[in-house]
Amino acid sequence: MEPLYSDSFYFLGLIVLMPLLGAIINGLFGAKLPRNLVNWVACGAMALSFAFALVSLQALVNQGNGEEVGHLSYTAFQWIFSGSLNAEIAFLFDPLSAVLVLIITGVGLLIHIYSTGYMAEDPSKWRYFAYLNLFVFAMLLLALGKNMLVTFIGWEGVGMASYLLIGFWYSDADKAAAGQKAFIVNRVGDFFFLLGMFILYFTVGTWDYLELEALATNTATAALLLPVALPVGVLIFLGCTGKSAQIPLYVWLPDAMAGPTPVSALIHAATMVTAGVFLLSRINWIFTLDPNLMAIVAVVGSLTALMAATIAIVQTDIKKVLAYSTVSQLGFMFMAVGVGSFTAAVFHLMTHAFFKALLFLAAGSVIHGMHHEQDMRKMGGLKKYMPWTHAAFLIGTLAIAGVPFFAGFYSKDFILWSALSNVHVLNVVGVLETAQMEMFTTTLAPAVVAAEGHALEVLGGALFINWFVFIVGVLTAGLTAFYMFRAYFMTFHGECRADEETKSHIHESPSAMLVALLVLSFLSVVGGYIGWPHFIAAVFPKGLKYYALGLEHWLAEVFVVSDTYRVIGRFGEHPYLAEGLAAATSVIIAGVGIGLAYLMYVKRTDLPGVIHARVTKLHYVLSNKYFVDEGYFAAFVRPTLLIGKVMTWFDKNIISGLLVGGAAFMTQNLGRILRNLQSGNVQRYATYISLALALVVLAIFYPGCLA
Amino acid sequence: MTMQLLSTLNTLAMLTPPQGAEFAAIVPGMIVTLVALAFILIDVFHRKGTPRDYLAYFSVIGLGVGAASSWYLWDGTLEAPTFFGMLYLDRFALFFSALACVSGALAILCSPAVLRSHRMDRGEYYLLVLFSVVGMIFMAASADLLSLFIAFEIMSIPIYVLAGFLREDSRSAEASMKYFVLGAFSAALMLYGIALIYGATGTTNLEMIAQNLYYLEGGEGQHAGFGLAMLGVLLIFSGFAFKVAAVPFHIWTPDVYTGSPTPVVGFMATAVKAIAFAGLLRVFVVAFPLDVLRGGFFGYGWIDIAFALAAFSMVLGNVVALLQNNVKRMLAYSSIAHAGYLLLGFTAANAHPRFFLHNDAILFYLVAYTFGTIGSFAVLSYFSRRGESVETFEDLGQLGIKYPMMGLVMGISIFSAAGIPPTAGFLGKFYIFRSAIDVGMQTDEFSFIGLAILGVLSSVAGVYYYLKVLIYMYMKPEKRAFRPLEHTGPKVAMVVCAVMTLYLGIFPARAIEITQESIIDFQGVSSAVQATLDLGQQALEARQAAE
Amino acid sequence: MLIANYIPLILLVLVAIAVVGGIIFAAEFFGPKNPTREKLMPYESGSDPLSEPQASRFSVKFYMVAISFILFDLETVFVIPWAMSWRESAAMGHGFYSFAVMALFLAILTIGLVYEWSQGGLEWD
Repeated sequence: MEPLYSDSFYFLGLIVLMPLLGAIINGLFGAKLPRNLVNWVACGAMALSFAFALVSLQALVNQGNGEEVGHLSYTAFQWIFSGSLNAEIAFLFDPLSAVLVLIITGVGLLIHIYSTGYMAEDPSKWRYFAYLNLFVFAMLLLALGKNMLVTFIGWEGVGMASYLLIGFWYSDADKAAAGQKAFIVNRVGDFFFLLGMFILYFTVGTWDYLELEALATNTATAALLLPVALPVGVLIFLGCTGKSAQIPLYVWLPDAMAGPTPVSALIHAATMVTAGVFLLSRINWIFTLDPNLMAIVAVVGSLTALMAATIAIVQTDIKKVLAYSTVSQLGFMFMAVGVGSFTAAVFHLMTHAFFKALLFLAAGSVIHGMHHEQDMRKMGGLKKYMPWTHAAFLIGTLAIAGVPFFAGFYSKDFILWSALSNVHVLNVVGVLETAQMEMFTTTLAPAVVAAEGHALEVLGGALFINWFVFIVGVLTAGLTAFYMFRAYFMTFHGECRADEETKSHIHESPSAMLVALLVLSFLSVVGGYIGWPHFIAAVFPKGLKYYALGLEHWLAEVFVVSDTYRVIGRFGEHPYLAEGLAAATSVIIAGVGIGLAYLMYVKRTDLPGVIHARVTKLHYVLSNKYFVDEGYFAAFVRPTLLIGKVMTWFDKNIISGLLVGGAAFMTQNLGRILRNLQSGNVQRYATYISLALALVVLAIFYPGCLA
Repeated sequence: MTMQLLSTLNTLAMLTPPQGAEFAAIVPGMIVTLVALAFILIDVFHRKGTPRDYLAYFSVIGLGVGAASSWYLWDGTLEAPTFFGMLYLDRFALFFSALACVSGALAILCSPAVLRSHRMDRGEYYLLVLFSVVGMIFMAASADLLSLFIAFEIMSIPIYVLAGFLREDSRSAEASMKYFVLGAFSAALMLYGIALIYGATGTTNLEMIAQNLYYLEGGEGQHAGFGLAMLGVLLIFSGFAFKVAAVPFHIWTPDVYTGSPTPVVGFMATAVKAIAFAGLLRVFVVAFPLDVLRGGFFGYGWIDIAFALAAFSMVLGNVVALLQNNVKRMLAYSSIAHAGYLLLGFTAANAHPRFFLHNDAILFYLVAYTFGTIGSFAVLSYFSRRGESVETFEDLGQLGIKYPMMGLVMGISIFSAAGIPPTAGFLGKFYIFRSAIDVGMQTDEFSFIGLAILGVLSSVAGVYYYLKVLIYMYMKPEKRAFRPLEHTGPKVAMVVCAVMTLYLGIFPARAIEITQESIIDFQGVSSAVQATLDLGQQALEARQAAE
Repeated sequence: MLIANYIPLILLVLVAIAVVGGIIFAAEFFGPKNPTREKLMPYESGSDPLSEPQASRFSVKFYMVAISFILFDLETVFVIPWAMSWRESAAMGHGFYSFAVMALFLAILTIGLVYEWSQGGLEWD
C-alpha cells in the first residue's frame, strides 16, 4: 500500500537529530555547563527522541488498514551522486525498525537516567554523556537507514562511539588496548560488509532496501540476485559476526567490558551487538534466497551459543559472565535467523535487550556498591545489603534462564521450536530447472511448495541441521540457566567474602539507578507476553488471541511477503503436541540447570572444588577461552608485526650491506661511513632509487627477467 | 614533413602575442606571483624586531584571492591550450590551483608561532611558500613538458629550502640536504626522460607527443624510437613517483618529514603530493594514451607500474608505520600509504578510456586528505617545548585532556586519515575502492578487486597506528610538559580543517560535483577519452536539469 | 642528411680546439712562472676544493657575489636577443606587447635586486 507520508515524515529526522544535538551541546560546552544541566541535556535529548519515536509509531499504526501498516520514510538529503553511484541520507520506519528504534530510545533513556547516578562523581561526566548520545545517534542511523549505505555509516559510527566509550574512560593500558581491539576487530568485519555491499551494488545497482526487497521477493527478478546471494550473504554475515560478536570475530566483546557498566548495558548488550541480527532480518529476502547461506548462519550461531556458554561457566568476573552470556544469546538470535524464523530472532533481540540490560545494570549497581569490585569470589551474601538490586538481578536471571512467565522463556522457546520444525522452500522462476536448484530440492524440501499445510518429509542434510541446531540450543539453554544461577548464588547468597573494609561500605544504589532497574524488571517479565507459544495462545479467549501473538502479527508483513521462499512447519499446521513437548523440554532443561547451580553453589559448596580437581585440563582450556585470542595473535598479529619489522629493516639496511659495494667497501670505509653517516645515506638513497628504476625498466623491457 | 611545417607554424605563432582571452590562463598564477613580489617589497621595509604576523596574514589573503580567482574563472575555461601551447585553462587546472592555494594558506597560518619559537621569524619563509604555490599552479596547467618541468622546479626548490629553514636545527638541515640531493637526482631523471621523449617524437608539446607517438607506432621499422619513448615514459614516471612518495621511490620521506619544520611537512605532504598527481594525470593521460605504452592487466606499461607501486606503497606504508615511535615518522609512512591509495584510484580510472570519469575519486581523496593531514600537522605544530615540537608518541601524553579543542581536531583528523565515517577521509577511501571494484567487475579482472581488497585490509592495519595517537593523547601519562604556542593562526587553520573534514564527509554533494566538473573539463585528451567525457557531461547536465 | 650539412659545425669545432690549444701552449711557453699556492688552486670561489670540510671554513661572500653575477648575467642573455628582435616585433605591430613583457621581466628582477640590497647581499662585510 502507499505510505501515508511519502518521503516526508520528518519526525524520523527528529528522532535521529535529538541525540546528535545532545552530543554536540555536551561535547562542546559540557565542560562549562553546570553538572546538573549536563544530565538534563543528555536525558532530555533521549526523552525527546523516544517521544518522537512514539509519535512515529502512532502515525504508522494510524495509517494501517488492519492488514498492513506499510512504512514511513523521510529523505534528509542527497548524499552522494557520482554517475554510477547514488545514495541519499534517508530513513525508513517500518514495523521492524519500529521495534529496534523503540528499544534504542526507550532502553537508552533508562540507561541514561541510570548513568546520572552511576557517573555522578565523575569529573568529566559531560564527555561520557556526549559519547553516549553520539552512540545513540549512530545506532539510530543504523536502525532507521533506508538504504544500506546509511546503515553502514551508523554501523561504523557505533563502532567509533563504542571505542570512545570503552577506551576513553580509564587511563590504564589494558583498557586502552581493549578499546583498540574492539575497534580493529570490528573494522575487519566492516571491511567484509563493505565488500558485500559493493558486490550487491554492482550486481543490482541499488542499495535501497525497498527496491532490493521488490527485486528479491519477486520470483521473476530474484534470478538476478540468486548468483550473488551466497557471496554477498557470506560477506555481510562476516560483517555481522564482527559487530554481533559471533565466531570467528567474537573475541572483542568480553574485553570490551572494560568500559563503564551502563555502557556495557547499552552497547554491549541491548543495542549495538544486536545490529547484526537486525541487519540480517532487514535483508532477510537475500538470505532466504540461498538455503546454504541459512545453514551457515544457523550453524555458526549455534556453535557460538554453545562455546560462549561453556566459557561463561568458569568465569569469575561478574561482567565477564554477562559478556559471554551475551555472546551466547546472540548466537541464539543467529540460530533463529538461520532457521528462517526472523520473528523469533527479533523477539529474542527485544527480550534480551530488556533482561540483559537489567542484568548489567544490576551488576553495575553491585559493582558501584562494592566500590568497583567485579570478582564474584569476593562477593556473596549481598542479598541483605542490596535488596532492590538483588530482586532485579533475580528477575533478570529467571528471565534469561528461560523460566516460564518471564520474558526470556517465550523468545527462547520460540527459537527452539522454529529450529525443530522449520523447513525452507525456495521458489524462483527459471531456476528450478538448474542443477543448483536440484540440489536444494533434494536436500532440503522434496515436496516443494505443494505440501504447504501438511506434514513434510524432510530428508538428509536439512533434517540433520534442524536436529543439530535444536539439540545445541537445548544444551545451551541448560548451560545458560546453570551459569546465570551460579553467578546469582555466588553474588547474593552465602557468606559475604569481601574484606571488612569493603563490607562496611556496601550500600544500596541511589534512586536514579533503582528507577531504571524497576522499569527494566517490569519489562523483563511482561515483555514476553506478546508472543505466547501457539499451543497456549490457542486456548486464549478470542479478543486476546491476537495480542497473545502480537509480535508475529506486527512483523508478519516484513517477513512473510516474499514470493521466492516459504518457511513451512514440517509438523503440519497446528502441531500443538510437538510444540508443547519442545517447550516442556526447554523448561525441564532450565530446571535442571538451576537445580545443579543450587546444589553446587548453595548446598554443597565443596562440589565445585572437587569437580575442578577432576577435570583440571578442561577447566584450564575453558578459563583460557579455548586459546582463541592466543591463536589469533599467533596467526594474524605476530606475522603482521614480523612483516613490519622485516620491511623496516629492508628500508633501513638493504642498500648499505647488500647493494652498495658489498662487504669489502664496508670494512674499508667503515670508519668514514660512521662519521659521515648522513651524507653516506643520501648517496645510498640515490643508489637505491636508481636501482628501483633499473628494476622497473627491466620489468618493462625484459618481463622475463622477473620470472 | 609534417613536423617541419608544425615547427614553422610554431615559430610564427611565437612572434604573435597571445589573444586577450588567453591571459585568463595565467590569472591565478599571476595573482600569487604579484602577492609574492609585493611581499618582498613590504618585507624590505619591515621594522626589525617586530613580529611578522601581518605578513603571514597578507600572504594568506593573497592565496585566498588566488583561490577565489580560480572560482571566478570556473565558467570561462578554454578548449585549446594557451600561450603557444604551454598552458591549459581548464577546470582541472583551476581545481588544483585552488587546492594548492588553500593548502599553502593553511600551512602559512600554522607557521608564525612555530617560527618564533625557533627564533627564525623571517619573511623568506612565507615568500618561499608563495613561490612554491606559483610553481604548483603552473604545473597543474602545463600543456608542454617544458612548462611542466620549469613549474616542477619552481615548486620543488623553495620546498628544499623550507625543509631546512630551521637551520640551527641539525636535523632540519639534514632533511633539507637529503631532500635536495635526492630531489635534484629525480628531477634529473625526469629531465632525461623528457629529453628521450623529445628525441623520439621531436616535440615537447603533450598533445603533439601523443600524435607523433601514434605515427611512430604505425610506421614499420621505427621500433628503436619507440623503445626510446618507453624509457622516457618510465623516467618521467619515476620523477612523479618520487614526488608523491610511492614505494620504491619513497626512501627520502621518513627522514625529510622528521627533520623539516612541522607546518612545512603539512604543506609538503598535501600540496606537493596533490600537484604531483595532477601532473601525473596530465602528462600520462594526454601524452601517452597509446595502449602499447599504457599496458594494463600486466601488459607491462605505465598502468602496470602504477599498479605495482600502489600495492607496494599501501602495504609497506601501513605496515612500517605500525612500528614507528615518532609521530611525524608515522605520518610519513602513512603518507606513503595514502600515495598507494591514490595510485590505486589512478590505476583503476586510467586502465581504459571508458573509466576515465572515475578520476574524480582521486580529486576528492586529495581534498579530503589535504584537510585531514594539515589538521593533524597543525595540532602537532601547535605544541612546543623550548623550541622543540611534539614528535614522539609519548610527547602527546595527556594533551587531549588538557586541551580539549586540540584533542577534538586531532581526533577528527585521525579518524579521517583512518577512513571512518562521517569524515571526509571515509568518503575518499570509499570512492577509491568503489572505482577499483567497479572497474574490476566491469572488466572481469580480478586483479583490481584484489588490489582493492589489499588496500582495505592494509587500511585496517592503519587503524591501529592512527588510534595510537588518540590513546596517547588521552590515556597515557604526561612525560614532558608541552605548552601551546598561543596564536590565532593555527587555531583558525585547525578549525577550518576540522570543519571541512566533517562538512565534506556529511555534505559531500557539492564537492563531488566540483571534482566531476573538473574531470569532465579535462583538456587535451584522446578521442576515446573525450567520448567518455562527453557522456559524463551529458549525465551531469541531465542531473543538474533534474534538480 | 649529408655530411656536407655538418661541415660548418666540424670547422667550428676544429677552430675552437686550435684556438684553445694555441692559447694554452702560448701561455705555457711564453708566460713568466711565479707560482704561489693560491695560483695553483683550481678556481672555485676562493676556497680550496680538495681540503676536508672540517678543516677550512669558506666564506659565503664569494657565493653571494657569484650568484648575483649569474643572475644578472642571465638577465643580459635574455635582454640582448630581445633588443635585437624588438624592431621586427614592432614592425609586426606587437611593439608594445614586447615592451611590456620585457618591462615585467625587468621589474621582477629589480624587486629581486631591492631585496638583495636590503638583506645586505651587496655589502662585502
